[in-house]
Amino acid sequence: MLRVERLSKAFGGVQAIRELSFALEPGRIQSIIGPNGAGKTTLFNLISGVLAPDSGRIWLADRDITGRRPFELARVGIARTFQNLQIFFNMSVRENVMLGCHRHLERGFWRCLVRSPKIARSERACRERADEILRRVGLAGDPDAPAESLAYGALRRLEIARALATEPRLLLLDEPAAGCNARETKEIDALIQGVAADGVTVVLVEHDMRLVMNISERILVLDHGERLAEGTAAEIRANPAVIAAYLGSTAAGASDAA
Amino acid sequence: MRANWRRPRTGGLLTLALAIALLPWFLPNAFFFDVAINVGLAAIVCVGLNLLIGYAGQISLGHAGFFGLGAYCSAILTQRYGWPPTLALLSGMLLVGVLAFAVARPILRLRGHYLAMATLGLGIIIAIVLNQETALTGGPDGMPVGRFAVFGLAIDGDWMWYWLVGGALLVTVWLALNLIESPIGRALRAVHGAEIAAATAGVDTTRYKVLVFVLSAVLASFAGSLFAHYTGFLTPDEATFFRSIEFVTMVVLGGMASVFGSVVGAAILTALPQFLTVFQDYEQVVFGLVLMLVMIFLPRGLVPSLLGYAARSG
Amino acid sequence: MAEFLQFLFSGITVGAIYALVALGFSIIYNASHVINFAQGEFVMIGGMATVFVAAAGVPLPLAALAAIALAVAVGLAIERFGVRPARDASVVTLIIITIGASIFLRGMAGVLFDKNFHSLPAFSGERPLRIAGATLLPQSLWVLGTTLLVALLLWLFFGRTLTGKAIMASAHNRLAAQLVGIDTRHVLLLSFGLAGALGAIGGILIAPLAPTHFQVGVMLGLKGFAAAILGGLGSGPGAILGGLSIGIAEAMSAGYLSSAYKDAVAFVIILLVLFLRPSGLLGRAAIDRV
Repeated sequence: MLRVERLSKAFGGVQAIRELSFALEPGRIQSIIGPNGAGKTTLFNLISGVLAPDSGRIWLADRDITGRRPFELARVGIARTFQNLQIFFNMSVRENVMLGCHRHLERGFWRCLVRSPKIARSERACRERADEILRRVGLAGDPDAPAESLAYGALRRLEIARALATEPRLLLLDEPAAGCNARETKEIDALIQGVAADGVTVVLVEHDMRLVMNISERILVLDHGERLAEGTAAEIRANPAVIAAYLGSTAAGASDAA
Repeated sequence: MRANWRRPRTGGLLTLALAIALLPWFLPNAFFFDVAINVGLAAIVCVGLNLLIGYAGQISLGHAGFFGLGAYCSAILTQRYGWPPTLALLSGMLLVGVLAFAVARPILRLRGHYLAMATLGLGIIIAIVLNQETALTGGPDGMPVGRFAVFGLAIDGDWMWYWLVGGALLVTVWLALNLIESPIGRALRAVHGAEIAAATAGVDTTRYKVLVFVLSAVLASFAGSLFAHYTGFLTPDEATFFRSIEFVTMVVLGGMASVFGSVVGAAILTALPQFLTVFQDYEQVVFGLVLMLVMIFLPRGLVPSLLGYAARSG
Repeated sequence: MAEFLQFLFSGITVGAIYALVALGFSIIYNASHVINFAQGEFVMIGGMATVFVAAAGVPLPLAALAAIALAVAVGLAIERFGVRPARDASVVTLIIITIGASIFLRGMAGVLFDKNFHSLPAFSGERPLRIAGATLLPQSLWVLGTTLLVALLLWLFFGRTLTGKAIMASAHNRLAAQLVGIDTRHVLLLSFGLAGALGAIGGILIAPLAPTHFQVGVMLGLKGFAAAILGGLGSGPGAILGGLSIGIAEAMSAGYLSSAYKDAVAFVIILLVLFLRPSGLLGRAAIDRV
């Protein structure tokens, strides 16, 4: 589904990603972990088009998508959430999700200007779809409420809802459980599994090792912008290089929960 | 908590239509008609400008340049080349649209102060050109402008102008409301709310920013053309930096992201200086204070703040 | 050659004033990421206040100091009452607030002073010097000399003194600065006051050469801002480079091309800079962190 070849990105003197290559299988849940500064969010930014790589190529299902802009990538099926929530706080809960439908909507300028019936119909369908997705992520409560009225954990789910509305083939989740308590994390866990069951390829960047170990079919470990290791949860847990670089104290936490 | 998200759209439009229809019967003399017509013209500019500033979250400190260009286009084409006024008006809109489109992409890549400075620079350059090209524009001394006519019907006198401008304002507001409540409007608000998220969700953010920039410029040109024919005499003062700030103040005062707020803001800041001529010397003092106080204490502007207050207590 | 030098001299002279204004912009921007659109009014206050205080019988040097003090006070007031209450507002809001402040100050100047043009006597006489066929007024030397001195003092202040370094630290990371005990409110006040003084000094220096007026701050402020962006917002050397560049470019195009479009030069330059290299000559590009 996703193939990355010799990707590199530097900021000033800092080499954030260094000649990184890996491939992701379709329809699986995969995680990317690594110590802080390993380049995980930078990698997401590169894949979602927010940043352009210095060198290297990215493929989505045999289509070269290197250097394409974010909205173009959304249209070929890449959606993402953000580490530091990028919710539209100036809109309602439902409108946030409706924005996700954007690329599927009837939206010609002149039609919008005169409020043509086609637009009205398309909007209605979008509303229904948004409500459906909200129900699915567990936010059916009050769709007209302002987005800022939601609790933190709910906001994370709202971002996922918005991403789902774009009907992605590849979903990038940047720390979806960050700042969530145990119950909220469990809900996110179930949500992600449900999404993957629908055939969406899910990639997580996460620090919550319980979630990672529990949910991932494959794990990629990054350190200093390079690939350190790749394998199943069990393999990664046992990999001495990984433990040395990163898992260290949290290895105990992971085996407690397992 | 059900937030008062959308003003009842039909209610607002109806109120405006009613106000426009009933007002002239209450206006005692020509002076009041003049104020009302100027309010209407300013409001058209502000509704467009608000789409850019309030909804899309950009800024323009040079919109008087587009206003002035539209005005001078109409003036020059009708006076020096004998074009029919409606054609001249449409040509002005086209010219301004093309210019705005040409500069929009490079300008809208900028953010914050850089964007403000770029729009300001553009507006000032336009004003300087209008001032200097005396042969064409009459320079600082200005130039006369003939009457406006729509399909041969000459627009003469207060009442005709009032209905023309009032009607134009109503249509502008209707179109603006349609746009805001459409997927394009939602995309614009998303760009304002979290631009990168909007982009990754599939919104071509640059395209929409350019769209709303060009649209607001074209509206300003339209109002400028009408203004030129209405006042009958045009000077480059209509395109200055001060005028641009006046428009921005109206938008800010009335309410960012509020179409009716723009009308209210335009009304207050056009009418008040006319009636408070006593304070002529203090006009700038008051203006400056209004700007500062509104932005500090009522950053969302009058109409949204009042509506929010009403929703909370009602 | 003489002609070229003539234009060069006048360009450098006015460029030095732009540089002082630009420095004021950069100092405030560095401390707070706010663009103070009222910067030009400090220049106006410098000139106008000196004129009026001197007219009241106060000897010129004291009048000048009073004017500088007034400008500093105004700067502090803008920070305290205009900027601080809106500290966390959006960029657009802050821009509009400082624009409002500049309009307010202009209006007050028109009321408190008057709306006429005024001039100051040259500091050391009006006998022009002749250099390679071009004339140079002694006042120009005052302008250049003072600007260089000010630049040097600022360089020492920001580089060598603790307070100066504190301001730079606050600019880089407000939270970190607060955590190490720097009172960032004082830093902001200081930068506004400093910018006020710089602007006023510029206004006093240029008043003998170009008549001052209550609206003189508008164009000076805008061109100074253009100079700051040209040189790179936040860069001191950039401000000076930008100011001189714009001054010289203006003089040259007025001399060789058309004097009518002189004012447009600064803005054409700034549009080009913003389109091609927004970070300016010596500035660093900004990065959006996601």
